[in-house]
Amino acid sequence: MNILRLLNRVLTTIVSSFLILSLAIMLTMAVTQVLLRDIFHTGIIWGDIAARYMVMWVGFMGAYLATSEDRHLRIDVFTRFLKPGARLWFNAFSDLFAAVICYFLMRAGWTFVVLGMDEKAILFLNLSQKTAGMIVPVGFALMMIQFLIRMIENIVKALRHESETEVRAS
Amino acid sequence: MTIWLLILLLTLFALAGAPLFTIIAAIGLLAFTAAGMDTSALIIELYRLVDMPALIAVPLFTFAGFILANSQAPKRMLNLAQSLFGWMPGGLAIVALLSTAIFTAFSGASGVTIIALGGLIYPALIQHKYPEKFALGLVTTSGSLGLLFPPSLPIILYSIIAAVNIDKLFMAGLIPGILLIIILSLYGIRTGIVHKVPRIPFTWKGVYFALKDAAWEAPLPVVVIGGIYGGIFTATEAAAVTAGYVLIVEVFIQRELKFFSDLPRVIRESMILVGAILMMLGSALGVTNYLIDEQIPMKMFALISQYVSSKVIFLIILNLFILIMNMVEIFSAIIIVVPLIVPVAMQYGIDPVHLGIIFLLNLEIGYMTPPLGLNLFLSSLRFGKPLPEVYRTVLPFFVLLVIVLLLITYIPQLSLLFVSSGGTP
Repeated sequence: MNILRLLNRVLTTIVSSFLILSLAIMLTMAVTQVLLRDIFHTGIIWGDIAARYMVMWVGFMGAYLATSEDRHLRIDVFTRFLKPGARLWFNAFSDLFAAVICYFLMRAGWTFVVLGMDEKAILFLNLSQKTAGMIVPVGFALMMIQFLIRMIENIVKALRHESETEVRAS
Repeated sequence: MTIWLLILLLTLFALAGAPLFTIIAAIGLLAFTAAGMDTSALIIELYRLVDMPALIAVPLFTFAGFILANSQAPKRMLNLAQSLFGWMPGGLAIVALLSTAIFTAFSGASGVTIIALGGLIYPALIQHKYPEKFALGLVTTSGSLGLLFPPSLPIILYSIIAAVNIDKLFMAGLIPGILLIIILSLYGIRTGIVHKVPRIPFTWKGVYFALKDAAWEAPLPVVVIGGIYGGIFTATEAAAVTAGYVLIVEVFIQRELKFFSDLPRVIRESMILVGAILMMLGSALGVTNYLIDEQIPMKMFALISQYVSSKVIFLIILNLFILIMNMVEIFSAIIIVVPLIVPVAMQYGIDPVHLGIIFLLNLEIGYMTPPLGLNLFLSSLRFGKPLPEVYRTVLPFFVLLVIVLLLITYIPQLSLLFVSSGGTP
C-alpha cells in the first residue's frame, strides 16, 4: 500500500508541475501572439501550432489529475443514493472498466504515433511530430495506472468498511 | 443480439459511475473493431483536436474564470451593480440577476456561481425583506444565467462541436440572453412591489466608491463582450487577453491570489475541468465520425420524419429530449447529442445557429429542472435547505424560463437578427 501511495504521489507531483509549466507557456504564447498581431501586425509563424499542441498536452495532464481526484464527467445520480460500502465496490468496478479502456486507448495511441508517424516530420523548431504526439499513449498509460491505483484503494477501503461494520454489529 | 447485449452492458457501466469518456471510447473501440478497422482510427479522430483553432479558448477562459472566482472580484462586482440598480423597485433582485449572469458567462457555468455569488446574494435578499422562497428560487435559477453571453464555455463547446462560427453564435445569444434577464427582472420588480421591499437610495457617492473599488474588473465584461460583439477581436484573442489580464490584476495588482500558494492550485483546478472535457470531446469525435459515416443521423431523420412532419412539433420533442439529457450531465449532453441532432434539425430547415441558442437555453433550464438539475443540489447544499423545498421555490422561475424558451424556439428572428447566415464557419 505504501509503495502505491508513494508512486501515486510522485506521479501526481510530476504531472502537476508539468501542467503548471505548460499552462504558463501556453498563456504567454497566446498573449504574445495577440499583442504582436494587433499592435505590431506581425506574429510568430509557429506560435499558433505550438499553442494548439499545448492545449492537447494540458488536456491530457488535466485528465490525469481529474482521474486522481475523481473529477471526470460521470453519471453519479444513482451511485449517490447507495450505501457507503456498496458505493466503494461500485467505484472499484468502474475503475477497473476505465483502466481496461485506457489500456486499449494507449495501445491504439501507440500504433498511431509510434508506427504511424514519420520521425523526420518536423512541427516547428526542432520538435518532431512524433515527440509532440507521444502525449497520447503516455497520457492514457498514466490514466490507466491511476485508475488501477484507485481501484485497489477502493477495494481496500471497502474491505475495511465491511470489517468495521461487522465489529460494530457484534 | 450481441449489439443489444453490449449496449446494455455499457449502459450499466455508465450508471455504475464509470467516467463517461471511457464509455464513449469503448463504443468507439467496439465500432471500429466491428467494422474491421484498426482502433488507431479512433486516435486519428481524437488527434483532430489539434486542428481546431478555437479550442485554445477553452483552457484560457476556464483559467480566467477560476481566477476570478477565487478572488474578491465577485463581491466588488456585486457592490457596483447594487450602487447602480439598487434604487429600483426589486432592485436587489435585478442586481442579483445581472451580476450572476456576468459571473456565469465568465466562469464557464460549472456551478461556481451559486457557491461564489449565491452565498453573498441570498443573505442580502433576506436582509432586505424579500420573501425567503423568492430568494432561494432566484439564487438557484441565477446559477446558470448568463450561459448565452460570451465567453461562456458551453457556447464555445457548442460552436466547436457543431462547426458553427463562434462569433456568430455569440451574436445570436445576445437578444435571447437579454430577454431572459428582462423577464426575470420584471418578476423581481413585481415581487419587490407586492412585498413592499424597502428600496436602497441612489447616491453618486456610492457609485463612485463602488466604481473605484472595481476599477480593474469593471471594464472586463465591457471590453470582452463588447469587443466580441463589435468584431474588434475574435473569441480566441479575447480568451488570451482575458486570461492574461485577469492573472495580472488579481495576482499582482489586487494581490488576492498568492503567486506560489494559490496560483498553482487554481491552475490545477481549472485544468482538471479542461482535461475532463477534452477527454469527452476527443473520444466523442471518433464515435461521431463513425456514426456519420454510417449515416445514422440520416436514418434517424428518416425514422422521425415518418411520425413528425412539422418543424414545430419536432422542436417541441427536441426541447423535451434535451431537457432530460441535460439533467443527466451537462457538458456530456452537448458533446454527445449535438453532432447527432444538428444534421437532423437541418433537414427540418432549422438554422444551426438558432438550434445552438435553443440547445443552450435548454441547458440553462436543465440546470434547475427538478429532480436532477445540478443547481438544485448545489443550492440545497450551500443554503442547507431540503431538496423538496428547493424544488418548490424554483417553480415560478422554471415557468418563466420555459416561456422564454418557447418564444426563442418559435421566433428564430430573436436569435438570428444580427447573424448574416448560419452554417459553416
